[in-house]
Amino acid sequence: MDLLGNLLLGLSVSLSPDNLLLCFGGALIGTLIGVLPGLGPTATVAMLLPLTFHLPPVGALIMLAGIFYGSQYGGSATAILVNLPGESSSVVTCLDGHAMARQGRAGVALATAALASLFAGIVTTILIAVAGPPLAGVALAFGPAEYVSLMLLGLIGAVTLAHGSVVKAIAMILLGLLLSMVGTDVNSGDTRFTFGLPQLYDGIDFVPLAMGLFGLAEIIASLEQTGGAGQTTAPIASLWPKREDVRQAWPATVRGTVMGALLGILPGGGATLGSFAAYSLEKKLARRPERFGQGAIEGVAAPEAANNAASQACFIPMLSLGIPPNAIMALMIGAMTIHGITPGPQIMVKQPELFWGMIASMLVGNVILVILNLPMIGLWVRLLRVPYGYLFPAILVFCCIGTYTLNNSAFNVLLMALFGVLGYVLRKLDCEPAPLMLGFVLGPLMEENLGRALLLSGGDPTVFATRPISGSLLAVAALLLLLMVMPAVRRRRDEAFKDE
Amino acid sequence: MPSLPLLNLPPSSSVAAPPRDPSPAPCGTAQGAPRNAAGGKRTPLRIPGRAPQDLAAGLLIASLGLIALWMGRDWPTGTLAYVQSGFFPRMIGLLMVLAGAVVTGRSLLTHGAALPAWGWRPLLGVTAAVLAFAGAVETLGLVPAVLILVGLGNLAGQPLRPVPLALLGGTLAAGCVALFVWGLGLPLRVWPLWVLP
Repeated sequence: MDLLGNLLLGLSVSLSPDNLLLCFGGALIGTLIGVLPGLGPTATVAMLLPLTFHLPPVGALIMLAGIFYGSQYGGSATAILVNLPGESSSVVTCLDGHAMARQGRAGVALATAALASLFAGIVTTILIAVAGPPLAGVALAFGPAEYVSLMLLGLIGAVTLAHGSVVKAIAMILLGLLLSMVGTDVNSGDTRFTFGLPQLYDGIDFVPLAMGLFGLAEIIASLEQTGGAGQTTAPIASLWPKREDVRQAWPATVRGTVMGALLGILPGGGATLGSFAAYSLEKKLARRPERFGQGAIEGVAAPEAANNAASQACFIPMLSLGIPPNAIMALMIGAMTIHGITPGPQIMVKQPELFWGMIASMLVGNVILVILNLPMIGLWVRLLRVPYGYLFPAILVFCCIGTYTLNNSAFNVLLMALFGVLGYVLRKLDCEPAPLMLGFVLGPLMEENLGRALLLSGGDPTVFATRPISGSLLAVAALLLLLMVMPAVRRRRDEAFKDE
Repeated sequence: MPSLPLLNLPPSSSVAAPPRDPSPAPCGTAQGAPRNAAGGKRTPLRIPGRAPQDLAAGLLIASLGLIALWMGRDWPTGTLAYVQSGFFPRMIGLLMVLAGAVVTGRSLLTHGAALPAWGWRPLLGVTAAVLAFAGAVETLGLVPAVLILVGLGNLAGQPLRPVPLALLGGTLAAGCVALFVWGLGLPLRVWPLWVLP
């Protein structure tokens, strides 16, 4: 069977000693940084990108993927132990996870989170292996007009399914597109938005932008709230769930996985929507819904499974279409570009060992994560108690050196400081930086394909609507936007994300 | 713990709350969720307008769009059949002005969140520290740059006492040299020229 052969090829890549070590290291460091309060997966991946510059491409992507799910698990640990969600996707875990911790069942909550994530991870990895290739086959038939419409749909999906104001999110995408135009235009050789600075002729590097917007801005915001103190954590007694716990948790895990995987494939859906939806489904199905919020184990298992399933399902559009559905996948695409890989449907055919190696490494990584984390929970707890005043200078040093060594340019460090301020200002104005990142990554692709589609059609803008695939993609995008304008839908959406 | 208005609630429960609730209850009532905690601690800034936060955001977006349009005023747009380098910037700039105008207009018509207080100290401390690092890393070398970064960054939060601070700076500088210069073999200057040419 082809799928089996592909997975075996992938396993042979990901189980090679080097890659196994990188996967392990990524998961470990990702968890280490992800545990720190206020640093969610996006910030963690952005800050740790430089670690992977000097690795071979396959190893770098395997390590980044490890960092990603490590940081997600670390974020859940912080949510459970100190009630501080690192990213919106772990907000729901706080509710019942921290309630369990206050009852002295923090260990059980952490183990449940780890095991539910493991189950969801394995199921979704198989889903990626099954669904990726056919999707890439469809994408190979795409022309420039289809790509423009697909990107538009992706961007619109990202803003409508995210939280906060839709218009502001669209504005952030536009700002990202503007920033992506800085530098020399590839077609004409004209320089745009360079302010006459030769350092900007090659455009803005992706790393200082991501590190400033996510890393520095997060550090500033965390300092503002904690002032540099450590956290008091709930004590941990027993680690292992009782038989009763397992009986309650496993159906919730299965339902959470299905919910998360379905929502994760949607552009922009991602982990947040998945975990919220899984939690409310559990609450609806429960015989005694009043237990939720008081430490119900289903309230930890379902959102954690959904969270992990959704964040892995995000890899499907990223790997097969080359379109990032959220900011983390935009970071992954940025990392691929740094290594000279063009993401898109052709990777699967041209570099099968990269594609399947990465997918198989997700299986390996999820197992490593559980093996790594169950014995090390005590260590993470101790790390949380270290005052932030000691931790953040270390993070700052790492950000600065990482950005500097990208191409030994002090100008990039200046840019990072600038984007840190921008990220902080945007946060204060309730504008999400994640859509900006999506716009920045998609900008060059979008401009190129837009120009090409118009050139091929002889300047006829209706080409986007009249070609069947492109037209239906646009119709879906328009439908999504229309739904957002309807008051009833908007109210429900506001409610769904209210607790952030 | 506040009750969670999630997807499965009947719509009737939401009538009482306005759609854009300015201060949603943060999930962690004890410590507060990261984003919303800041507004509650200090008194927010007062500026005229019904939704000051959205007003500021709208004006910022619109002015960025205008700057983009102004900078690209002479760039050739070409024709639809042959798009040139000025086309895309102008399109995006126009859309940004439009989006900014919508956000601004809505902020004048509806009630919304006030401007949150600014954390000047962490903002200035962290930014100054990073800028100083950028200035020092090529002229003075890695070790002084890291020490300056740690020293200035320390002012961004609750400052550490001198001895722990010196220990932290020394450890980080040594760790960086070990990892990046000896470990990864990156071509970085470690000391200023006049110490070790």
